Amino acid sequence: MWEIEDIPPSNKLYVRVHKNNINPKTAEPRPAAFKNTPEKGPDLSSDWEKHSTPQSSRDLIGKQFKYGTEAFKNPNDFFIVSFTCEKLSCINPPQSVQHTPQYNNPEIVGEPNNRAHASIIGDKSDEEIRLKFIDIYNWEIKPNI
Amino acid sequence: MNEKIADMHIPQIRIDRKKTDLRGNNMYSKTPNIFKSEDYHSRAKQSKIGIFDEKYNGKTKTNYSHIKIGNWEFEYPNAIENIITEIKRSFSLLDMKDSWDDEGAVAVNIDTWIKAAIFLYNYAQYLYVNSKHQNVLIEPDIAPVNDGSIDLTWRTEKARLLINIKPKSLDRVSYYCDLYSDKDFSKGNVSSESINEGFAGWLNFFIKPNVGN
Repeated sequence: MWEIEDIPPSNKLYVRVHKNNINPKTAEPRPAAFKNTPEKGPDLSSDWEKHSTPQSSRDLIGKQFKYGTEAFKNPNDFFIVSFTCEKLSCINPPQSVQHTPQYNNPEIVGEPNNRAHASIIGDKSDEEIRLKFIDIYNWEIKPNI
Repeated sequence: MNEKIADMHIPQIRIDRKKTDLRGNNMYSKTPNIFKSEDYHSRAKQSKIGIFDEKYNGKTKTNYSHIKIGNWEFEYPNAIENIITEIKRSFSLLDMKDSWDDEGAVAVNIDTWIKAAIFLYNYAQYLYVNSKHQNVLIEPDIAPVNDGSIDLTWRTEKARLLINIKPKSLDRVSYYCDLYSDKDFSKGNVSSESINEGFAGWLNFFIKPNVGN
């Protein structure tokens, strides 16, 4: 079990972007990339830089099952962007961040333990906020398009 | 799939008239070549090239083509071929199965795609007809969203616009548009079955440069 820590505003969170959520013409994430997952979930998952790197965040994807299946995701189908917490709190409606480490003993196949896991909490159904997410991201692992 | 198309009601197209668009252009002067509901099937049988020019523009002879969206055939000026190409390309969204993002996304259904395609066609056609310089709308990125809706996105140096067409409320579409400023923005929803001239004014920020001038 890992202690829940406060995430400093200046810290980065790594967020995965599926290849189908990338505009093939511009190689930029689409606004659709920044919705809560699963679709009716309360938050968007991310990994806190204190306990992860862009590459480790991507590698961990390969230990997760595809939704509703027992097939593992392909990490190469995902790319990694980052947000700083302070920028997330500045968009409207503001998003809050919370360290939400995932730990099970024994570890559950398809749901790997993850000390870095953090949640970006807030409504993301609104067109305005999804469009404004595009302003504040940075690529960490970028697609070659 | 064919059953679903047949069950759809015919889109009701009407014009919500206002005096001017966002740039102050008179919007009364021309009648757009947008199908009224009762015209759909009769217009679908027509293929008279050039009638659009003769009736509404009268300056240049422009060729027209046709596209079939769902059960309906639409006439369009070749100048907006970029929009039509993007609509055709977006048909592939229907090939994407549930969980297309590996995270439980809902697949786009045919009704939502048809609504999005006709919505885009109507506004592209409207802007072309109702502008002095035959404005050609830049093609948007047409993308699926994990709730089964479709996003139309434009981003230029001056402005950005996101339109979302939801499967559960096909008669309205929601949008947000701004000039990268909290002061110059528009947000809300418009009918998917009529032209809102105020909203069309915002689309004038996404016009191809040096076309028809």
